[in-house]
Amino acid sequence: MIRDMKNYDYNLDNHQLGYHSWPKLYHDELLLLIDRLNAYDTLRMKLMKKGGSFPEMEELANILRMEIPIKADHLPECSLMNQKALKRVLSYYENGTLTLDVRQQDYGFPVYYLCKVQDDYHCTYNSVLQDFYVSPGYTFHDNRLIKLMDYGHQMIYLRLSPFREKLIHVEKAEINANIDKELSRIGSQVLQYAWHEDQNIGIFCSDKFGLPDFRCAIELVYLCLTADLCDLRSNIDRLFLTFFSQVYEQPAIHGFLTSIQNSNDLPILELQDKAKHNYTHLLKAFNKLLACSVCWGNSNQKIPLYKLVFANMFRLDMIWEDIKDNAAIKQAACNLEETALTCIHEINTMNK
Amino acid sequence: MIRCFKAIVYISNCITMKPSRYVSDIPSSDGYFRSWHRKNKTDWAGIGIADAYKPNLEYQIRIPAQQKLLAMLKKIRSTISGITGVIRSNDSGFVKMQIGPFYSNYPAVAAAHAALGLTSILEYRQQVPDMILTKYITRIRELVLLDKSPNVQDAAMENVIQQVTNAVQARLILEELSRNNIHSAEIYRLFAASQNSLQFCFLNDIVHTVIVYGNILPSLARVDLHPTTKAIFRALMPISAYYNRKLERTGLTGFIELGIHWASETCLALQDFLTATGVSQDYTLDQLLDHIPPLDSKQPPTLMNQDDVATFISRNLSKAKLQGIAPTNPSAEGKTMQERITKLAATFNEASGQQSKSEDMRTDLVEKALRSSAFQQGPMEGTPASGHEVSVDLGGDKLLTGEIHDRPLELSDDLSKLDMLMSEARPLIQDIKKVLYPNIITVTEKQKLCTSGSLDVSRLAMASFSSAIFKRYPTRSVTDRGGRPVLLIACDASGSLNAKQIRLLKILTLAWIGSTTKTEIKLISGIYHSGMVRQGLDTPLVQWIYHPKKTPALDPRDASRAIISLPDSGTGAQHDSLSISYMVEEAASIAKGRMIYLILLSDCQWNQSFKTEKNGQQEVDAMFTYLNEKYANTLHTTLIGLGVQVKQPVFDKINKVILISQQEIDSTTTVAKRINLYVANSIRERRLSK
Repeated sequence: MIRDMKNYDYNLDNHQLGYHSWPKLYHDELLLLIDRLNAYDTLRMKLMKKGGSFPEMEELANILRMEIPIKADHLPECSLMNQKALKRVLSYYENGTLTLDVRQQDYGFPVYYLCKVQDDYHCTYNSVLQDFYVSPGYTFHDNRLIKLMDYGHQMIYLRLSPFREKLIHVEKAEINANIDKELSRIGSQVLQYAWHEDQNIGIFCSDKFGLPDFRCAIELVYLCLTADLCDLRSNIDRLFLTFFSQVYEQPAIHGFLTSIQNSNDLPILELQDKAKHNYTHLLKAFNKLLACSVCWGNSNQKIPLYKLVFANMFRLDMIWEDIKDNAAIKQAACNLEETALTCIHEINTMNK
Repeated sequence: MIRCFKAIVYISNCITMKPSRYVSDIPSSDGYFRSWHRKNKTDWAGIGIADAYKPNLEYQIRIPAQQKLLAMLKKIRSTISGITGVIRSNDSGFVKMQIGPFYSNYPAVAAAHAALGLTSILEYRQQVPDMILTKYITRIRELVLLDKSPNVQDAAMENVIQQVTNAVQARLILEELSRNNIHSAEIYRLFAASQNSLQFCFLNDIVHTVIVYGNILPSLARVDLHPTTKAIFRALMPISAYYNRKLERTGLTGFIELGIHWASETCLALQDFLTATGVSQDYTLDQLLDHIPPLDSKQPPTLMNQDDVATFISRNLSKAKLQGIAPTNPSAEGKTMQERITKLAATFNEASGQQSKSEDMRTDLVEKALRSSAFQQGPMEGTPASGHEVSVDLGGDKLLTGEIHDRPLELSDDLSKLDMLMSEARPLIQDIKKVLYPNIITVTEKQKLCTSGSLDVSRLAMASFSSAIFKRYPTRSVTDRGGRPVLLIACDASGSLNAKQIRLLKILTLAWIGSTTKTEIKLISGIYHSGMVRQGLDTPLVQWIYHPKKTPALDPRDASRAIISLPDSGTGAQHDSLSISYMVEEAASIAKGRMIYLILLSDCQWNQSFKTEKNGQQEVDAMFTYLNEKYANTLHTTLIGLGVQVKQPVFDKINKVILISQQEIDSTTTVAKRINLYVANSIRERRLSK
């Protein structure tokens, strides 16, 4: 059988010390797992949305208990219920780059996220490069960053997978063979510095309150302040610019990369001073927005917006509908967008 | 309130001194040099309390952040002591830091304040039990019973009284803390509100929403609710609005009276919804088996706070008048059905629950636990423990693997207690200081080449220009008194040690730690036993007194404060071979090939760690054989047997043994004599070995 031939691979990639054989899983084996996940989620969603019978509920439990027929020597028997064995089996897929994240949903049902990750030991965050399976109901609070278990700790990963298909599409399949490498290069050179977990209050607000320039400015300021700009400049190429203009549309970072690429004499210190200065301005403008008072609740009590934001962090759209017409908030949001635009302009024109 | 908001926004920007970091320059592809460790936010924004438990950051950043967090907690504790008038002679007995919010998806800065907020709420509740509404639950019950409808079951009403009283109590405590400028409590309220799923499956959710965070949630008109849920909200809202207004005008002394009336009126308003109406339609078991309503459908709230499948099915089963399924009088068929339901729920919980003990508690599970007990003790408290896997060869076919957790011991501020203990340890420190801890180094020596046979032909070609042909350069290991060996002090602090043994253990540990001051010796010190790592997880545990990468102490001397935090007698059950192996592994990672001196303080009542045929003593024996082989010539072990008289076979594997019998434990002079003898012996041996 072809699978038997494939299952043993004399792998020298990660084991430079000598020949080392281990079972190696390929996409065919992965499909067995994905089929099982699909079967489970189809039945689960049916029970959630349309109801069903008790035997169907038991059938759902059976799907979790049933062995997944991934066969190779040295591999343990695995099922969706036995996460430990399943994770061990998945560690044999392409040099151990697969991660299965399990979360408990309402009524104790598990939901799954299967993805390919890339470790970068020199960076703060590792990256997710490809999504293989996402259960319905598995939520990403922040589309850019995700917490996944890594060596016993919940580590934060950059989520680059949503850009994968679009990047292949834009680059017209030329990049297909190198897509992992190129995605992780963009991740480690730019997004590693532009994205940060502490930005999430600002990012949630900008997404839900319609403040696109604020979002661009936050990411630009972080990039300026955290990245090694000399190193970054030497790595900018056409792909970087395409990515930020067509795949992850971020005009501020695109403008910044273009400007430093064309700059002969990069004023790093001045640039970082300017970014720090603008960071303070952005923070103040954002604070002013959050400090606005709104009449809220049945008693129409006046409370500051920050309380509503912090109390409804993951459902901001539900409060925005009721406050979007507030004059003070409108004014503060306008000021914030203006400050963000000024910030982007000041940083991106420094090199010209 | 504005001040509170500013605190959140600016706290992460406080600049602290960055610790020096290891930087190794490597050339990048095009000739620029860059650091191995790339920059991150803390390089330009400083270290704030938000960084205290971020796993993506290195320990050099997390430890100063934790110190800042601890300093803030101490301020809050002293403010609460000021409010309550409770003065503690030492720092024991305080509520532990509730760190659950750090492990949620909530923004880290606000999560840090929420953690402080929950801790302050629990601390306040602990310090002023008389101000707690639950103490007056009998009065609430009396008021409710006066007007209770006969249709309402007593058990159901009792459940409601408990839930409502807890909610009103939380509201009163939040008000009291906010009036005393402990703004973290308000942040915790916001955090708890953000965790509310707005599904209102349980009556408790509704009660908390109305009483505690009703004014900060989105308009309920935007939420799709079951008609019963809507009706309950309509009934409770006016009562809460009235008492909220009244609360603003009420002084602290009137809180309890106000709370009693608030709780009793809320309970009475709920009684209409507790009346047993029954279901008109009769189902047979078969019919019900064929129809389970959509799990996503809006359900009326329940009194039970469980949301597993078993509860859902049972809830729907109980709606029907089924013969034999009632839990009070189950038929054989009913019993089988209940077993099937239980099995079903167990399968889902196993598939979705935490599977590995050594892993951090998953974010979704932390959030769920915090959601279900918003103003109660959280799932994670104190200092977080990290899980580790340890492999040991105990002479079987394969390496045995075990899971163990470790965390730093909290530092005590009770300096008077430290002084007292230090005065007892001081004579011993003087003695132990004399012990030499030579390191092992490899030196290359030059020797004249004297061949016993023919000369090396490969060297002959160099004879005309190099003297190397007449010399050779062998390397050998020698002791180096100026080196930097690692001293590992491992203390058994399990429940088998009585108060006297623990007291001596503290003195000896203090003495050994004290002996390393102003020396080049690297110290690692910790206790091992078992303990609660998080809710429902009791595992083998190592708690570090001093570890250069894990403890917040500034230096070994400062770490002595951690010894005071130890209880007066041992706790938990120790897993000797697992814990000692792990501690030696940690020491080896710091020693990097240098000499490790292990000082093991134990009562020598060895426990089994692995599921093998070996008993505890045999395991420890095999473990020392393994360690001596693994760290050949670089591990020297001294065992101090506390309350031990009889020699054990394992002592043969240990370099030095000091036995202090149960009768001698009290006598400081006898202990000093034993230590003197040990010191003299060690000096002699180590001088000779040079």
